[in-house]
Amino acid sequence: MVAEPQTIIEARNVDFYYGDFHALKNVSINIAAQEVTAMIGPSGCGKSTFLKLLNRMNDFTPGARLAGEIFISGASIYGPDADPVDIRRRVGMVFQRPNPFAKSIYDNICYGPRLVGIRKPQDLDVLVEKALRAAALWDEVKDILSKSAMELSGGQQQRVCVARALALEPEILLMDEPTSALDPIATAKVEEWIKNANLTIVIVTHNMQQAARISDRTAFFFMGELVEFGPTMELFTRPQETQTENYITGRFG
Amino acid sequence: MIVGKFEIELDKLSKQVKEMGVSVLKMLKGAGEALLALDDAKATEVIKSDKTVNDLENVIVNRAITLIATNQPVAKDLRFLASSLRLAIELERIGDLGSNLARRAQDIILLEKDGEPTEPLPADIPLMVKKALSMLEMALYSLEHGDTATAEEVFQIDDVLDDLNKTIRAEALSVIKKDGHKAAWGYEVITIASHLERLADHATNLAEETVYMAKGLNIRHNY
Repeated sequence: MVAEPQTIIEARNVDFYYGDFHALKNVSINIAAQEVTAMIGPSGCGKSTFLKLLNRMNDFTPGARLAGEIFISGASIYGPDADPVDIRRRVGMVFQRPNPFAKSIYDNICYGPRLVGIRKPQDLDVLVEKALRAAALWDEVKDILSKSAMELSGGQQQRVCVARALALEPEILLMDEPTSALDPIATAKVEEWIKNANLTIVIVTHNMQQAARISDRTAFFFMGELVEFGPTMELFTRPQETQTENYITGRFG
Repeated sequence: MIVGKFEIELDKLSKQVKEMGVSVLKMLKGAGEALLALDDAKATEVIKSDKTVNDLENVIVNRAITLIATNQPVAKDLRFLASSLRLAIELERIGDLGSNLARRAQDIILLEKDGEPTEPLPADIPLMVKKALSMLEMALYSLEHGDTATAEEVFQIDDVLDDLNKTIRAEALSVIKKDGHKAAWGYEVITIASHLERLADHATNLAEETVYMAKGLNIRHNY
């Protein structure tokens, strides 16, 4: 047996409400460091809600209420000492649609580092190259760094967003359906990046084949509950729960 | 909904696998009869029916590959399709063994016709035929009903066939040693026992697919 990987995110008995709506019901899960964890389930199952809780993106949602605890690297991210700004630096996020700023590629990547006080051009140059290389985009854009990020293709824009998140050297990257607005070629590039990233990635996807292709572990959510969580290959070849079986084989409801 | 059509296709495939099983069982029963009664007409009939089984193999393999390519199946659907590919190949080989057994019957009929010295078939041959056919029937039943308990019984009988094969081979060799003129007959008997032993192995493989489809466990080569 391979040794169990180290847990970086631990959710303990998490309940979450949007007003009266009980969006997450007693969810407990340990997410491993340096692995890709996929969250699947039908619309409204709670998977995106759960993802957003991991970097406190629901803090300003009206009527939102959380019970239970979430720890990252052993520290509670909802505890009295937790600093949401610091948490969002450590836990980056990439969204469904590429959302580069209407600035140059270079300035997109520097945006976060400048906010945290990195100003020296030499330091920023190093950082931009490192982030773009990590996002597998450097070779494609190294000669056009002053070009607007808005002029890039969809797949390139999404990798600019990945690079922008990576520039802050996050411990964890959250991805909310990062390829659903991309064509198959761009999707393949982003997937390839995810597989080789050597980073803790938690990805929400509606595309089950994508979850099967790129993740180490998969969590299946249904109606706010975590129904099943396990190694991806096992979940897709011999799921333990009937609900999982019915969902992934398309025999739902 | 796409799944509706996919389920219909899976159902069709399942029926074809079952049909292939029925054809193969009929062939092997015929081969057993041809052998034990040295019935030339029956043997010819068995050999002819092999084509149906070969054709079904192609139909099943092509359909399974198409369904995998077009539906990206997972979980029990994936297991069923992966099993169908293996089942078609196993069943085709069982069909070949049926043909081979029928040919051995014809060979012995020819030996007798040519006045070559022969002996009655060893008493363990009818026993072996009976056990091998019963294994095949049980394996097919286990597949159709997803019955892993019956599959387990199939695994247990396999050892008995291995032992019978050894006994019959020893018996035939001892006849050959005593009377070299009976070498051709002895060779046929040894080959027949060996075919029946292989038949038992293939029935075991079928039963292993029952376990794979039901539980997702690959137990091949564990028995």
